[in-house]
Amino acid sequence: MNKEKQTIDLLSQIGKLLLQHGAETELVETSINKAAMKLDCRDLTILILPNAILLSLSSNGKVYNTKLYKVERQDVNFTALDKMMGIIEQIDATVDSTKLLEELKDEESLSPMYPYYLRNMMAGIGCGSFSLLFGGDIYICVATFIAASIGFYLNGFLLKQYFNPFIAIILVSFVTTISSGLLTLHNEMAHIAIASSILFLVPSVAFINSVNDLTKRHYTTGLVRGVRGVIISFAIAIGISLALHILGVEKFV
Amino acid sequence: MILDISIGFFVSLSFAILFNAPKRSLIPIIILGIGAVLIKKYMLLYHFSLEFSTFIAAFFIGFISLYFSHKQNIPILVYAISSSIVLVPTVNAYKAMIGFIQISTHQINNEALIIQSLHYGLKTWFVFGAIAIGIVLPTQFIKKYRFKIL
Repeated sequence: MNKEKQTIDLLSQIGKLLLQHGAETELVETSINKAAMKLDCRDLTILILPNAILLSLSSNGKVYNTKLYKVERQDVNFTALDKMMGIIEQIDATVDSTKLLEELKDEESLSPMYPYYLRNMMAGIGCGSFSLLFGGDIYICVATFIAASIGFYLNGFLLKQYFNPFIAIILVSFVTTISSGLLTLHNEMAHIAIASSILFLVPSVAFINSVNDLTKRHYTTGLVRGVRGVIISFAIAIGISLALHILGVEKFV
Repeated sequence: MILDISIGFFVSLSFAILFNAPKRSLIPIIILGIGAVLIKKYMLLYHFSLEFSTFIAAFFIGFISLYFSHKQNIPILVYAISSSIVLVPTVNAYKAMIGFIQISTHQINNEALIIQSLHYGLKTWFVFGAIAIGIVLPTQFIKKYRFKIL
C-alpha cells in the first residue's frame, strides 16, 4: 500500500510540475504514462483538467486508489520542462522513489531562471528590434527599448506583490503605453513604438497550447487555455486604450 | 538582409531568455527565428499574401523544430514558441484596436474607418490562426517522431 501511495505521489508530482510550467496536455499525459511504464505499473488512468490532475491506480486488481492534485499557478519556464524530461529518462524500476520524490518536491532548484536583470534587458532588446521589423528607425527602437524595460520591471514587481494577474497586465500595458507614447509624442511612427513595446505581454504560449490541445482532442484544456489567452489580450487592449484616452487618440493613429 | 538577420537573431534570442529556454536550445531557436524572418520577407516581396507567407514561415518553424526536438530531447514547444514571436502581427492588431476606439468615441458615420478596422482585425485573427496551425500541423502527421518524445 505504501509503495503504491509513493508511486501515485511521484507520478502526480511529475504531471503537476509539467502542467505548471506550460506544457501541453498531450505532453503531460505521455510523460506520466512513460514514467508509469518505467515504474512497472500498468493499470493507470489519467484525467487532466486545466488546473488539476486526477490519477487512478488499481492495487492487486482489487482496490482502486484515486488522488486529485491541484496545480496552483501557471507560468512559462522551459528549463524546468527540459529538466523534467531528463528526470523521466533516468527513472527505472530500481530507482529509490523516496529520494526522487524529495528531489521533485524541491521546486526552487528544479526551475532555475536566468538572472532578473538579464531578462529585463532582453525584454527591452527584443521589443526594440521587433520595432525595426515594421520599419521603425533608431529613435523608435530606443524608445521601445526604454518603455518595454520599464514595463517588464513593473510586471515583475507587481507579480511579486501577489497582484491579480489580469489587473497587473492592465497596469503594465497602461504604463508601457504612457511611457512609449510620451517618448514619441510628435513622431509619425509612434504607433510602431506603442505596438511593439507591449510585445512581451502577448499570450503566445496560451494560444499555441490551445490549438495544440484542441487538435489533439483535449477539448476542455484547449478551450480554457484559449479563453485565458483572449482575456489576457483584452486586458492588454484595456490598458492601451486607457493610456491613449489620456494622451489623445488622434495623435497615435 | 543583414538587418533582417540581426532582427531575427535578437528577437528570438531575447524571447528565448524571457521564457527561460534551456541553454543548449538557444542556437536552434536563433536559426529558426532568422529563417522565419527571411521566409516571410521574401515571400512578401514576391507578392504572396501576409497570411500565406506567415503560414509557410510557421510551418518551417514547426517542421525544423521537430527535427531538433528529436535530436536534443526537448519538447517542440520550447523551440516553436520562442522563434514564432517574430511573426506576431502587432501593428495590425494595434490599428484594429485604434479604429474600434475611434468608431466608439465619435466617428459613427465614417464607413471607411469601420471597414478599415474590420479589415485589420480580421487580418490579425487570420495571421494568429496561421501561426498556430502552421506550428501544430507538422507534429500531427509525422507520427514516427511524435510517439518518441512528442
